[in-house]
Amino acid sequence: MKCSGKWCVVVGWCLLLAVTGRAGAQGSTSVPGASALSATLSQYHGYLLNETGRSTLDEVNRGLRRSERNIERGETEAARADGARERETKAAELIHFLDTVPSLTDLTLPQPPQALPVRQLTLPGDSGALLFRLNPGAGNPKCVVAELDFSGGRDSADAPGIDPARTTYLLVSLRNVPARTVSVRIFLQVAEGLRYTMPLEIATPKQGRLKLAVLSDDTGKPSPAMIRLVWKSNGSEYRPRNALEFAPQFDTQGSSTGVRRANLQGKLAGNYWCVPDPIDMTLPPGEWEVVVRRGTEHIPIIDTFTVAAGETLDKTYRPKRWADMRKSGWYSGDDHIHFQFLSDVDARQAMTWIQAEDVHLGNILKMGDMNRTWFEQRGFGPDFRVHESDYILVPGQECPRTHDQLGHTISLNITDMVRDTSHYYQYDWIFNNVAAQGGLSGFAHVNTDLFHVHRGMTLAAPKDLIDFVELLQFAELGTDLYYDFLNLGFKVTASAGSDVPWGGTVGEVRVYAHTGRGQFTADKWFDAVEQGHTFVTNGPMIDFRVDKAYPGDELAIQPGKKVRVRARTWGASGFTTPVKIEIVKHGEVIAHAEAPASGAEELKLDLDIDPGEGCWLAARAEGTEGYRAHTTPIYLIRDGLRFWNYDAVDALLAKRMASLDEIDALIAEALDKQAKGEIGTNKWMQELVLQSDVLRQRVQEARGQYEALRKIRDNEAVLRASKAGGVARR
Amino acid sequence: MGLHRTGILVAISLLFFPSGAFAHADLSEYVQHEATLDAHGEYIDITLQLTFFDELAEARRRSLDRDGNGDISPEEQTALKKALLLEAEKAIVLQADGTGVELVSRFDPEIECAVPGSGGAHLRFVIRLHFFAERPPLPAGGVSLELTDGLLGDIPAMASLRVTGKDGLSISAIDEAREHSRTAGAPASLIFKAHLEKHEKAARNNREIPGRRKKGE
Repeated sequence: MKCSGKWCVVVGWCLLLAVTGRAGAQGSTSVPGASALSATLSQYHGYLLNETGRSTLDEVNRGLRRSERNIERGETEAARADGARERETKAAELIHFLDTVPSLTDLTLPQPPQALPVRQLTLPGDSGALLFRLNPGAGNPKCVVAELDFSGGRDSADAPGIDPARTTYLLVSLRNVPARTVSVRIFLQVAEGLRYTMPLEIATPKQGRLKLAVLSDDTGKPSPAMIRLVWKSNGSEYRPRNALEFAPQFDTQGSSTGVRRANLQGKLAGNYWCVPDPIDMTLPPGEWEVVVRRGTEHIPIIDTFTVAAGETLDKTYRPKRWADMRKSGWYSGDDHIHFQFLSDVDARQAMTWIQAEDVHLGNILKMGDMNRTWFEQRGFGPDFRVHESDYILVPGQECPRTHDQLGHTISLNITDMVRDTSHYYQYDWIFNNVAAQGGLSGFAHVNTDLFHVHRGMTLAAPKDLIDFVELLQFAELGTDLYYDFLNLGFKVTASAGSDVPWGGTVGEVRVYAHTGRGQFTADKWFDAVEQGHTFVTNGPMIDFRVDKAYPGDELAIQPGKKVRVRARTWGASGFTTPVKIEIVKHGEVIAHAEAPASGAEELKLDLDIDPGEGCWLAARAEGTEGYRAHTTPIYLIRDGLRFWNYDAVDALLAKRMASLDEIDALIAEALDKQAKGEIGTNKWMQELVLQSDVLRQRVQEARGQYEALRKIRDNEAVLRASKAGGVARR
Repeated sequence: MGLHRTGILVAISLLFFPSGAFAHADLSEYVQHEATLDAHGEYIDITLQLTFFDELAEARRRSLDRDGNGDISPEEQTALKKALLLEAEKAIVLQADGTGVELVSRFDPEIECAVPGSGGAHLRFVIRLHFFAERPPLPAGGVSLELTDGLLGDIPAMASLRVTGKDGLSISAIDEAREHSRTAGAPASLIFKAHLEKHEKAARNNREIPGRRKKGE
């Protein structure tokens, strides 16, 4: 097929767009490539500019990007024309700005194209950029970016679209440059087969040396810590050389790396490494920022320092405790850590991490699904716990996990893994076996109702099999599902887990259990969780009492007698400062206090309330930037009545029945697929078919149990009427 | 149809509709959506990081690495970035107090394809999208921000929101009203909510307590 000239031009232009990848966003402009260059310089190489320059470039870049968007997406011709004018203005501003960059290097290209003389240049460190003005004064300017990342094994890069008739601003962006001197070739592409070769000898400067120690505020001795190290020259994060690599323990799952992107807010958001010992490493010279964290109870340290070439800098940090919950008998835990645990090396890694984050009890979970398991453990039970000081690792399991059916379950403090795929959809069978071992069972991801966990909860709750649920995870407190079950009169303990390696870092959300005074032990911690003496947080602390009752306690109430409700929250100044505290009754806020304009170190509520005919009360707190805390409820029970939300029972039961309908539909779908021969080797479906009768039976049982609740509600109507001396509300 | 456009469409189809992506069997077939709202000066910067775990990551890498050399070429990356921006333009929406706020791409999308230094052949495929918006006027009491993320709407998602406020701005993540994760079979946008106000905390006293999300179980 012959190609018409016009068609060839179109194809050629498209090819050029595909190759440069930038021009498509440029359209026609007097300064092609302007936004690509401004973005690259602004995003990665601000070190070439002073602070004012960075700010100016940032504005120019935003203006260019905005104008291009308006040109492409403007709804009217006038809007597109405005965009075009703004682009020209901003492009001119960019060129004017680039002319003032101190490191701009002029280079006149000889004709015809030939190899250019070797140029020797120095970078500030292992990344940086070179800014050239090719053929200054030759004509309308254009911009070109050449990117070279040495981590990919390359040592040359193309600079496409060089026009000898125009002044070209060329930004050579370099990353992961090897130490000392490197020979690089930049190919300045003029046309097909026509190019200049620009050889560069790039030197990186002599590095400085950083010796950085983090001390425990308890002992004054070196402590593991979570550290973030940023080279301010270009915003690059550097891995401390002795940071732990967790990939071997993460069994190829999730974010399987030692770089942990913590689910934290504000100044603390970002990547961290777990550093076991003092750091002693070389770094490029320049200004650095370090963030040192030791978990929720310590005030993070954010510091900047300068590393000088050839010199050693000693830094010692001691993050101060702003809270010591141990003193009042509260010990932190993470109910959801996935980690291979087969050797002392694995144990050392996990122990270092929980110490760095100051999490006292880490539940290390083997994980399974219908087909296999991950994160193998060397054993379960007390003999396989690992203790060091008052930090303890305890093996457990996250299994069964059904993603499309009933949700994910967690069992803690087990003595043997409970797993039999012929019972995989019978969570009650699992939970009962775990209970027989003395373990605790609950549901993961309840905060977001992930994996249809409401279905599994609907089956388990009326059998009183749910010891705990995850209410806080991935920085999100989610209470909808939790409140629904509490409002039906089921006692459920609030818990939290990071779910690393899917989560950011251990203890980024945590559950505190009140173990009381004396030596901290794992058994005490699990006993406290079983009793419901917990609260969850990712920042602020919270203390909650009703009369003398703690979270998880039942409190017998008497007609006409008020109870005293006290709640307090406090946080790390400047990080998790309290904003609000609330008392929640049956899911509704009945009292709250907010921080004054001047801020508050702590917030308190102290009030007497009439508990009516029984209820659950919980406290929840909010810190700056969305940090959250929430207690397990205190259950206020009037003789003969449930603590449920009596007025909402019908609606709540309807939700549970709908969940059971969903399970019936799943079973029906599996049986239908089987009848049509569509199941094949899908074990999830095979087992659903095999277990369909018994699962249906569970559903029927649950329906009966919920219907029984309806009868209880009806019976209570009479009781409540008599207690209230009138007609009960319905 | 130009080759460039063809390349973009291929990249879109490879990214968003790879074969077998929806018959997920485990957690590795989820995509993690991590949104960051950074309020400062006159702007709100938005970063959306999408992490594809190992099975999805491997599927994406294989489908994009058409020459099978284990690397994604600059050309392939360029087409993918272009496709991402086109898709993001439709799928990512910012609202302030219910009014749309124009989002502009601040930097080109970043694509990271990383195999950890040890521990086997695990692969992470990470895409970062950078946008900005002009900060809306802030009345007393501030404004409610809602970021809708409809990218990869058919693929199960885990999600989280980080917020940062500078230059006298205070921003808080709101989670009581956030639809923040989704499971298979329920294509939907993720919605991230936050409250933005000036640092004068007096304004907070006038702020309504966010209502709890009504779940349609």
